[in-house]
Amino acid sequence: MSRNKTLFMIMVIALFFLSGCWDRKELNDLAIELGWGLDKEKNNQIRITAQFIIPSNVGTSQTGGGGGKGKSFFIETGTGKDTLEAVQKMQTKLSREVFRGHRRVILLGEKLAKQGLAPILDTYSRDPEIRLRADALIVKGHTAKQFLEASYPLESIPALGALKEHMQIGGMGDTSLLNFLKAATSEGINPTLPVINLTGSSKGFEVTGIGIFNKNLQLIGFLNPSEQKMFLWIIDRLNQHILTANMPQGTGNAGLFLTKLNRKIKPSIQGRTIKCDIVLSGEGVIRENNTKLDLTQAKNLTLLEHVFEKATENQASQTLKRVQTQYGTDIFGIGEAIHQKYPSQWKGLKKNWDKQFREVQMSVHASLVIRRVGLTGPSMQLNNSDIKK
Amino acid sequence: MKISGTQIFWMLFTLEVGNSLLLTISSTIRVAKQDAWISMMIAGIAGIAISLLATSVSSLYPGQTIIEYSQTILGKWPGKLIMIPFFIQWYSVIGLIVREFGDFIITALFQQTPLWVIVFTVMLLLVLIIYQGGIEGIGRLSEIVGPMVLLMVTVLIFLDIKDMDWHQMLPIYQDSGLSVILKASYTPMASFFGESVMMTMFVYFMDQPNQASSRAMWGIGTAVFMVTIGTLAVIFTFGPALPSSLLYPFYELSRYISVMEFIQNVDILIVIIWYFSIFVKLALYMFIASYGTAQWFHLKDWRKVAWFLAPISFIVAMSIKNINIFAQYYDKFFWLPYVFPINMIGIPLLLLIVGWVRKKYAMTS
Repeated sequence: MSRNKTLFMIMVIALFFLSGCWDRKELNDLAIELGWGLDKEKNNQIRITAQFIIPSNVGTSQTGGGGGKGKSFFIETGTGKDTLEAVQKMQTKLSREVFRGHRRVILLGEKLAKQGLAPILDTYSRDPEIRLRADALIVKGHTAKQFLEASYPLESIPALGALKEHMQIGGMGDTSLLNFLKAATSEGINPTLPVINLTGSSKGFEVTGIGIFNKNLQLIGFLNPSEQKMFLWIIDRLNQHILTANMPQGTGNAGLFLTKLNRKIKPSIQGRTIKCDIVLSGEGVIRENNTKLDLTQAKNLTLLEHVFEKATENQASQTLKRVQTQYGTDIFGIGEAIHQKYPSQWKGLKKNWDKQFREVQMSVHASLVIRRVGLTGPSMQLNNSDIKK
Repeated sequence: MKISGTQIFWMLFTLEVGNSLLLTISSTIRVAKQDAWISMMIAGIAGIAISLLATSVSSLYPGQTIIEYSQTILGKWPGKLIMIPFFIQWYSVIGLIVREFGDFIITALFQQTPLWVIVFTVMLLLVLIIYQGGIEGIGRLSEIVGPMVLLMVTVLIFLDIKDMDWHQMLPIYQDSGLSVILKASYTPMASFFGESVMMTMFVYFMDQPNQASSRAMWGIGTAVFMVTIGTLAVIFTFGPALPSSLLYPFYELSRYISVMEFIQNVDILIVIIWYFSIFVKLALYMFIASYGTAQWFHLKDWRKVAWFLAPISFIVAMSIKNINIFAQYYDKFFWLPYVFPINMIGIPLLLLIVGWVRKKYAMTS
C-alpha cells in the first residue's frame, strides 16, 4: 500500500510538469499573419512584407456595421539576408509574436523570381510552424509590397482574395507551392507558378497566367490566361473551364461550361523521333448559345461538339508550340510521361531533355461531350424561320 | 502475469506501426524512390519470418523465457554469455528511443519546453506501468490504444485521398531494380520489423502459447500493411523525390490535409499515434530489460531493476548531442551490422537448431 502512495505522489508531482506552460501561446500575444510577400532588395538582401490581422476589426468590418473602425489588416516589413533575419527585423516593430501557422499566400516579386527562388525556399519545408499547403504566386510588374498594400473590396484580408481568385479560375489554389517543389525535384517536368497582377485602373488584382521557371528556379517567361487554362488542362490540374467558340459559318458563338476535365499524355518513341499525343476530354453543359442552331437536334449538338473540339485543339497546340519554341522548358510533364512509359529509354533522354523537348512532335486531340443544353432549345429571341433545325 | 493472444497482436502492431510510419519512410524513399513500397513489403515479410523464428524457438520451451532456455539449451555459462548482446541492445536502445521521441515532440509541439521535462515524464510513466502492470498492464494498454492507432492512421490516409495521384508510383521496378529495392528494405527490416524478436521473451507469459506464432505474425503483418499503404500515400501525394528530403514525410502528409477548407491541422493525430506507439515500445523494452536482468542475475524482485534502468536511460537520452546524427551512426555501426544479424537472426536460429537437435536426441535415447 505504501508503494502505491509513493507512486501516487509521484504522479501528482508529475502533473506540474505536464501542463506545458513553457509553450503557452495566448491568442492576444500573437500577430497572425495570413499572407506575405518577398522582394529583392539591394546588396542581395530580401524584403519581407506581411499582412497581419487586426483582430478587433475583423468581425466588425464583415458585418458591415462599423464603418469608422478602419481596416482589418495592416502591413509591416523587414529586410535581411534571409527570411528569418527579415522576420526578426520585422519583429522589432511588432508588439506581438509573429505567428505563421495560418499563412495561406506567399507572394513573390517578379525581380526576385527572375533572380531565382532557390535561395529562399528552404524555410517553407523546414520550419515546423509553416505548412506545405500554401499558394505561392508571382506578382508581375509590381513588387509584392505594392501588391499587399493594395486593398480589395470583397475580402477583409486582401491576401486571401488572391488565393480565392486563384481557386475561382479552376486552377486548384492552395497547392501551388507543393506543386512547384515537386516539379523542382523531378527531372521530367519544370516548375511553374501562377501570376497575379494589380489591375491598373480600379482597385484589386487579377490572376493573369503562369510564370515559367527553368531548372535553376529562375523565372524565364509567362503564359497568358487562356494559355494558362490549356496548360492546367494538360497537366490535369483544371477543375472547370468555360470554352467559347465561334461557329465557322459566322453565325455567332456558343459557350460550353466544362466540369469533368481529363487528359491523357500518350508518348511514343519511334527510332530517334519522339511523338506525343495529348488527349483532352471533358463533359459540360451549354450555358450560352448565340447561334441559330436548335440544340434539341442531335446533329446540331454533334456539330457544336466538333466546333468546340477544334477550338480546344487549336488553343492547346498553340500553347504547346509556344512553350516548345520560345522557352524550350517542359512544363507539361511530357518527360515524366515518357519516364513512366519508357523507363529504360528515359535514362538516355533525361540528360538532354530540355533540348529534346523542343524536338517532340506534339499532337492534340480533344473529345468533348455536351451533356445538357440548358432550359431552352433554340434561342428564344429568334423567329421560327431563322432557326436552323 | 498472463497475456492473451489478442494482446500479443495489438502489442506488436502498436509497437511497429507508429515508429515505422514516422521514421523509415524517408530513408526508404531516398534509396528506392517510387518503389519504396515494395521494399517495405519485403522488409515486412522478413519481419514476419523473424517473428515466426522467435516464436518457434520459444515454443520449444514454453515454460521459460529466452534468458532461461538459452541456458537449458546451451548449458549454464554459454547460455548466459550468449544473452549479453541482447542486454547491450536493450539497455542502449531505450535512451535512444526516448530521445527520438522527445525531440519529435519538441519539433512538433513544444518548441520551448526543456527536453528533460519530456524525457522525465515519460520515464516516470514507464516506471509506473512496469511497477503496477508489468507485461499484463502493457498488454491491456495496447489492447486499448492499438485499435485507436489503427483507426487514426486509416483516417489520416483517407483524408488525404483527394490530393493523391497514383501515377507518381510509375514506373514500377524499372528505375531501381532488385538490388536497390533490397538495399532500401534493409533499414526498415532491421531497425523496426525485426524487433518482433522480442517475442522470445513474451511467449512465456502467454496463457495459450500455441497462439504465439499466428498472433505475432498477424500483428507484424498488419503493421507492415499499414506502413506500406502509408508509404504509397506519401508517394502519391509528394511524388518520389520530395519525401527523401523531408525527415518525417508522413507527418508532413498529415499537415497537408485540408478537406473542404475545414478539416485542417490534424497533425496532432500523428503526435498521438506516435506517442502511443512509442510508449508501448518503450514499455516493452523496459519490461524485457528489467525482467531479463533479474532472471540473469537471479534477482528476486525484477521490478526493482526499473529503478536502475530508468536513470541510465534518462542519462543516455540527455547526453546525446544531436539525435538525427547519433541515430544514423547507431544504425549504421551498431544496429545494422551487429544487432540485426546476431540478435534477431543468429542467436534465435542457433538456439532453434541446437534446441531442436537436443529434443530429438532426448527422445531417441
